[in-house]
Amino acid sequence: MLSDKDRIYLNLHGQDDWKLAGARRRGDWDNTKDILALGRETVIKTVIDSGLRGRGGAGFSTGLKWSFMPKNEGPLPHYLVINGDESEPGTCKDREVMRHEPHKIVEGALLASFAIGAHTAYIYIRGEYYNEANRLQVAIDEAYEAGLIGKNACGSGWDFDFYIHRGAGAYICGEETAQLESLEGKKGQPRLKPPFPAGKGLYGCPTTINNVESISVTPTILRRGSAWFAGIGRPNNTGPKLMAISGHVNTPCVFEEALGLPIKDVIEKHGGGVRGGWDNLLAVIPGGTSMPMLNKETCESTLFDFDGLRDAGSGLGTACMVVMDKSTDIIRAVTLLSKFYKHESCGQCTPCREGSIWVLKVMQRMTEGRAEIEEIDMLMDVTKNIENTTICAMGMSVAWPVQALIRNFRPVMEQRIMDYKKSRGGASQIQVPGDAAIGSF
Amino acid sequence: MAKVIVDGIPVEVPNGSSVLQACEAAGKEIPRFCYHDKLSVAGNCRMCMVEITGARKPLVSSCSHPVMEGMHVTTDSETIRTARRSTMELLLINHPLDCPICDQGGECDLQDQAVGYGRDCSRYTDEKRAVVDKYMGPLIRTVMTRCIQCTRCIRFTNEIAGTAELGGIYRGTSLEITPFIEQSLVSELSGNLIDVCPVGALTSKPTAFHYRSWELKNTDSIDVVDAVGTNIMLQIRGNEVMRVLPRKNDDVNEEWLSDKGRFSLDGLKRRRLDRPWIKKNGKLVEASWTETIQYVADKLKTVAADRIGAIAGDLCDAESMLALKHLVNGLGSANTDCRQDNAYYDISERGNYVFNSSIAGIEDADALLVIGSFPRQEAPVLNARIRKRWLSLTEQFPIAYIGELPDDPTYKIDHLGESPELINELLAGNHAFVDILKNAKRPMIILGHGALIRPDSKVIFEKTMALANAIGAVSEDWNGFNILHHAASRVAGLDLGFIPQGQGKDVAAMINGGVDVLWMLGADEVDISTLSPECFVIYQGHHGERAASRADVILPGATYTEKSGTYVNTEGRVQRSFRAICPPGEAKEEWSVICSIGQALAVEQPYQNLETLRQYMTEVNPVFAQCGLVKNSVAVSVGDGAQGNFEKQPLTAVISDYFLTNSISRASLTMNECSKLRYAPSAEAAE
Amino acid sequence: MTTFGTRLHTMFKGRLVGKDADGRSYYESRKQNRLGGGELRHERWVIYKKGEDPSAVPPEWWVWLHHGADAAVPVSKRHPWQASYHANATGTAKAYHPQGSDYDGGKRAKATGDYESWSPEE
Repeated sequence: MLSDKDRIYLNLHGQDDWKLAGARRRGDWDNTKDILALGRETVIKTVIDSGLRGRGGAGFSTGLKWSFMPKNEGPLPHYLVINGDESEPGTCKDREVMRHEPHKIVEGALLASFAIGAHTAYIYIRGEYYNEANRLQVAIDEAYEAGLIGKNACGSGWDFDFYIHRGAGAYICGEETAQLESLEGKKGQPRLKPPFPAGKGLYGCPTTINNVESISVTPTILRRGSAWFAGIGRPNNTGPKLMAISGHVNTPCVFEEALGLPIKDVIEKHGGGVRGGWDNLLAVIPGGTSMPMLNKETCESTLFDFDGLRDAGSGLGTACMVVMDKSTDIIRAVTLLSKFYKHESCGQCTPCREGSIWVLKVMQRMTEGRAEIEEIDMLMDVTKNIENTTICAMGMSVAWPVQALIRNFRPVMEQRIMDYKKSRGGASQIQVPGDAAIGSF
Repeated sequence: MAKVIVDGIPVEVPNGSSVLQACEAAGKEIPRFCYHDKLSVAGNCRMCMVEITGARKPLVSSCSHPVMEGMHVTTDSETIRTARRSTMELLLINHPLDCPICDQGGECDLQDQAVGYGRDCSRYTDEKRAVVDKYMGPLIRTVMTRCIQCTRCIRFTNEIAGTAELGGIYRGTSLEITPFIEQSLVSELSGNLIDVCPVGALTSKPTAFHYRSWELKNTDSIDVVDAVGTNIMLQIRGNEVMRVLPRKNDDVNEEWLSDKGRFSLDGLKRRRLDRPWIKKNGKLVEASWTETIQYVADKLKTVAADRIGAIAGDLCDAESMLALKHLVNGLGSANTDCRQDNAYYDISERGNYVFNSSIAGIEDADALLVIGSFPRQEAPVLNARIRKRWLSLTEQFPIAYIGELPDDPTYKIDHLGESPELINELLAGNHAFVDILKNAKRPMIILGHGALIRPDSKVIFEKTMALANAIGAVSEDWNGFNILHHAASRVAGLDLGFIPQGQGKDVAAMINGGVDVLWMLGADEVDISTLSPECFVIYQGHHGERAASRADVILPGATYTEKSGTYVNTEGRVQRSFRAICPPGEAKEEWSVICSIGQALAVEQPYQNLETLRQYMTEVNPVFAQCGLVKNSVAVSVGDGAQGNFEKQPLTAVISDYFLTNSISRASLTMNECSKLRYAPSAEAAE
Repeated sequence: MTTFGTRLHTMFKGRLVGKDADGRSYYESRKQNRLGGGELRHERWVIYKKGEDPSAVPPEWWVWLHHGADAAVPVSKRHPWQASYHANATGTAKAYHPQGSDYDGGKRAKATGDYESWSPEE
């Protein structure tokens, strides 16, 4: 459990002043000049030592990412892009940072830009986050006025400009290279990798893209030291992290908690327990809906951090879990996710463009039961292929929820199909695996 | 160079190559839809998956993955086959299986690869998506439901054609390729969209449902609608050319073909001269060849030698020009001219009238000045090469134009103005652009016919040449002084000396009463309204136009598809075409008719057949000995002139209507429709 | 018309089942004397009018003749959209000739290799 003194976001729920005065009271912008004076190498090293892993979903070491940037500034400028396009269903942690702790983002942007040698940073905010963008703009204006950013930021001699770019509502623009395309004014479609953004990113210049949360924790890490951060959680899964619980819990919320707690404890402590008691739990989608869901048994034994969930065949993602109790029609729930991903597929590459709608159509039939049992295997087979062949991670987002459904709830799907057939008087035509008895589950 | 091991075969490919190129170097076939040699890499079809040992993701798209030293690539394994089968299946989910009624059937990448790499059946049972067809003008027929969103067409218009007319709208499964605005495509290279489209989404509109690809037989030929000498393939069925496709030749046209060359072939079937005609009592009547040849021979015997003249048109092959020149000279006349537009050329040196840098050489240039030319219309394929050079990111390519700009040149230019006086300013170093040219290592100057058909052409030519020397465009290893021709026969004519020799009369003199017998060899572009009624006109050609109506004798000839001919393109590259079909009716190759008349006149002729004629051609000018190659002339003579004054009027564009520049395209209904849409859209709207 | 043998066979073994609108007679054997479709059944035959070939049998009787139905389909069951039935006319003057056929005047559609020639009037 995270103790209060280790909390990074002191105003996560907006109980305090979010403006510069309040932020200063909470310790932001405190001796930023001294941190900058440490130099690039030290800053990057501190962040690497802290073990901070990217908070956007992939979990790649933030410090390592920074270190991939060219050491010396060449003819091309460097850019920092902050990914605030938080569009994953169920995920709402960055929004709280943007509206209640905007100065953490501005300060983090300055430090991260300094670390990667960028004089310009962009934050790409989801278009629907209108008020959040406004608050952040106020914070930026305050910082400019106070001389914290702009020419000679904080008196450190480092010039730094910070711009807000509001998205237009495409989920795919949360993918880092699609975000760069969108920033450049083009159609938001992921780029081919390689080249990676660190070599050829925004406008063809070296670019680092970080999540809002990754950026906003760096000032605290640099202030309190890497040892403090690394001391929280398990090795390789360090630090406190913003998490959220939504769905069938008694108190859905966004909160800050140390990594490495059992999922059950997290739900019991912050979510106020599953609606109707722990035994009423059906499934948990751990972080962002694209991660494979976990059933109740797995939830009881799994630790809520990057490696724990990876070992359980899922992933931490954004750590914003969706809890579903037994009143949920789990097939329909996954169908809704498929619908979302079909709608948000950018249409660039074949497997996702054609596969997402295909998966949706099959899932819609599965919801009704209007399918064949061998189609479940086919669905598994096709989603496996979609997952492996797409340009960006969207293919996985399309495939994983469905695969997890089949892995965890195959009997439910088969029952649904057989019920449908029976209701149409077709019981004798059911094709079942040879060893299974009809109606045995 | 990087060493890569593909399926156990070690190959060496240049650094920065893609894995796909390495696989091809190893002789492995990789299926692909979106990848195209000449276009940027999109990597969106996901068909070219290969396995790379030790990569983060085992399956990578080979077209977009750069090679690395010592990389191990597997092109065939169960995983890869499964992935390809899956991609193929997904592509076919929304692709209509209307191959029997699809024009692409039989030459369709999707069809071939579905057989080669796909599943034997589809597991998909739900309904398919349908997309509204888009209007792309009279040349491109669209069936957008067939589109597999490979985006080759978008990349073609953006990168090669430079008109950015196509794009994708909506996202996901609703993604549609569209020209945004419902209007005819404006690119002169739009026909190539049909070639780049791997499926039947974009097909040829004029020939829709006319043929199946397997019915066609191929004959190599050379395009004559402009002077680029585009290598083409005539695809014939029976005695008709059904389709023209570009052949790949990286030195000339890469793999592109202009719309005029591709779509004017319906003009080959209209207004054809298919029998000899003789004017009797003021009226043209049909005649037999024997009668006609005798009639012409008798007429030629009666006139004084220096009252015989010959004009060669823009579509003539070198053989017929040489035969005619030999006949006319043999009769004792020097009145031969191939310059219907009275253009000025300095023929003292071959380098003075050809495109010295060569078309491929444009890619080596680093600055360009275009004077009195608009390459987009005069040589669209060459213009694509200029754009390619301009797009290359390695070095800047500043381009300036002097002369009228009828349209967007498809790249960013510095339009200096339209007055020829600017050449003087550049020569005097008073202009900013001259510094760019001087600082360039390989500057290029393109002098077009807008500047060469003026009264002051000699001055412009010589001053331009002086400018070329002043900026160092001509050196040991680089010749940046270029003449851009737009008539396919012109360079061959100049090479053969089909211009007035000694006391010979030029076109203007011949038309204005200089001759009593005028032999017009396909000369349709000459204004003959001032020709005296007494003048006896022999028209030899393939299309009946003004000149044929005026003629006293018509000798029907063959078009470029109907004869084996030699053409010299603007670079001075000698190229041969082959006969694809027979001339219609009684029409004959021009040189053989001239040969017969020469025999009737007892003119000594060193040739009897095509072979000996070509041998004779090599004797006349040794450049004809070598086909396909271009021998760069190292130096151009420095004009003594640089004297004289320019005329006041601005340099104008030489082509006013791109689609109707020769007798074939003027006879073509397709080209007429294109012209109407491009140059008189309001008239179209009113209809 | 029939051969003598057929007439004898019809007289001794046959039973008239019916006549179609054009007057062809349809017979059935009195006994189930033919093996067909796995069982013994009546033999069925038709006596044509003079000069006809088997395609003259209208579809209503054709189905009966081939044991497709127990009785001929009444003509009244024809739908208004059904074309009237004609015997195969191949080899006769009424035979179908495609457009452009020499038997049909020889005025053919445009084809590969055709061209428009120029004439001085143009």
